[in-house]
Order: sequence, then C-alpha cells, then structure tokens
Amino acid sequence: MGTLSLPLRVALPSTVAAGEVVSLRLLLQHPMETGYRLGEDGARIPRQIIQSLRVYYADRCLADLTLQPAISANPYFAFSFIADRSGPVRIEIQDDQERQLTDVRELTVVP
Amino acid sequence: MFPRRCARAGLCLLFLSLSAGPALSAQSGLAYLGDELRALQADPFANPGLLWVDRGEALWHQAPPGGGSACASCHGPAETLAPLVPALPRWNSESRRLEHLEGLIRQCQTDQQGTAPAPYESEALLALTARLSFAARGRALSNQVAPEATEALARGKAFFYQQRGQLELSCADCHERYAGARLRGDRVSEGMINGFPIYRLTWQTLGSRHRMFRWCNEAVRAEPYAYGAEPYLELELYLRQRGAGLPVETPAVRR
Repeated sequence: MGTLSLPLRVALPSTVAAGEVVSLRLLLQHPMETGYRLGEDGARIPRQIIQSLRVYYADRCLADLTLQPAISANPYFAFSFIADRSGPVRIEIQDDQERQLTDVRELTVVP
Repeated sequence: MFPRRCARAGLCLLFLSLSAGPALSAQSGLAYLGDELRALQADPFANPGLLWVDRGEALWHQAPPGGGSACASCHGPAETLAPLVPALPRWNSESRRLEHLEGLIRQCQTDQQGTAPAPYESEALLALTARLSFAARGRALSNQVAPEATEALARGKAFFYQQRGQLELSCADCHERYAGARLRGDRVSEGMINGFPIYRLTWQTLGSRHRMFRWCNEAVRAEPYAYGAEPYLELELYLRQRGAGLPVETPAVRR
C-alpha cells in the first residue's frame, strides 16, 4: 500500500472541556477526477478519486465514508462529536490506487 | 448578416430588460456573489484557495532543486513583497516591457534560483502567486502608471472596448454595460481583478488572471492569446487602474 501525499487542512481544537461538542473540519486538495471526462486529445481521463475517509477518536470509529465520483474536487468535510476523554483523533484517507494518508491530532479533554 | 444582427439585437433586448444599470463605483466581484460563496470566501479555514496559499508558503521556504536558494533566503517572509502586489503589472524601464507577478516569479526562478521557470498555471506558480497576493490582502489596487507605460495603458483600454470573436462582444459589453445583469444563471460582474488568483467553481481549481482572460476570449469565440502575452499584460494594467482602490482579496472564490 503506497503513501498518499495531499495538501490537507484540519481544523480541530487541541483542548476542550469534557462533554463539549467538538467540530472537526477537513479540506483536502484532490482532483476527484470522475473518469467520465475526455481530455483535449479525446482520450478518457482516468478516474482518480478519494475512495474512503475514516475518522477515529480514541480508537472509536466516528465516521466511515465511501466517496463516489460525483463529489467535487477539493472536498470539504465537517463532523461534530462529544468530547468525553483525551485521545488521538486519527484521519485515514485512501484513494482508488490504494494509497493511504494518515493524519493524527491529539485532543486533550479537561474536566 | 441580417438574421445574425437580429439575433444579437434580441440578445441585447433580453439583457436590457434585466439590466441593473451601470454601477456607480468600482465593485469587486464579491458584490455579485450569493451569500454562500461570500461566506466560503470569508471562511479562514474552508476557502479552498487557501490550500494553494499553504503550498505557496511551503514553496517560499523551500530551496529549489539544483542548489539555488529559497525565495525566503533573499526576500524574507512573503509579507515583505506585499506592497509590490497591488502595483502590478508595472513598467520595467530596463526591459522596456510590462511585468506581472507571474512573470516576476518566473524571472527570479531563471535568473536568481537557476532553475527552469515554473510553467504558467502550474501548481507551483499558482501557489506562489496565491501566497504573495494573500500577503497583500486588504491593500488597495494602485492607480500608479509609469509615464512610459501610458501607451501600453491606452492599448489595454482599447483591448477592453474592442469587439472580438464570433459573438462580436467586447469586455465592456458585458462587464461595464451589463454588469449586474443576469446571463443565464449567473450574474455578470464588473470584471475586476482584485481577487486573483481565484478559486473558480467552474474550474474546480485556482486560476490566474490570464487564464480568466483566455476563458473569456474563448467564451466569445475569439482566439485567446498565450499566457503572459503583451496584449494580456496591457489589459491587466488597464484593469488594475480601472479597479484602483479595490482591496486585494486573494484567494477569492468565484463561480
């Protein structure tokens, strides 16, 4: 499995109060090429999309998304969850060439 | 000839009936957007153009392949060049030509960094122009034109008012006379250049001023000029002066 290198913007507070609703926002730069378009030479532009996006919080799966070609280029995602304990927030992104990108942020919950 | 003239007259009538009339003072394209896109542009996290600004910041500090020095090692932080951006394009009295931001970056890459210049519309060039223009955010476009550039400015203005293409439309036909009117689902803007490079939803990526000029030329079915071509530099100069006072709002989000 190869490594996927993408510009990724992550917005997540580092410290929150216990029980607070935390918002996690993601913006990634990706062409999300559908595979249906023709290039200037008339040849089909091969499909190149992000296929899966998973978010884990303290080893629990928060979101497991299967992405389709209809999603626009440079997609934006927003999630919210209740912070109940400190732990890593792990973002796993995989494209259709089985390349993977993992980004981990620490979330500290103060009682 | 007659049916075509009729068709054009019909198109004009359609425009007229929906026209919002000429604007009183220069307005950024931002004023012609809906609430959602305005919010997206204003969002300091989710504005997609910021992806290129981030990348530009990384490139600014990164030494080019081949042993040259990074942009930052001569210029310091990108903010030091912020006063330059709203004054571009400008007249270079040595080369006796106009120069714009993309051209200056490419020239620096060749002369100072000893690398091949980044091609127009490449990710690297877009990222660097985005980063520098972002540094100039909020600064007003200058109306300063060097005396030597007066002729170039006049040619740029003539370009703006010249009908072109199979549709025989000039820039002014849409962006001056019918600014604010609806063109299919879209609202025609004044064609201001203070937000470039822009994240354009139609392109789903960032694009330069010259890409927009080329797109507009093709839309009226005219043969577009090459990136960095003299007529586009002159047009850019005229548009900078035409929109003088508008704040730089890179990276702008446009339809």
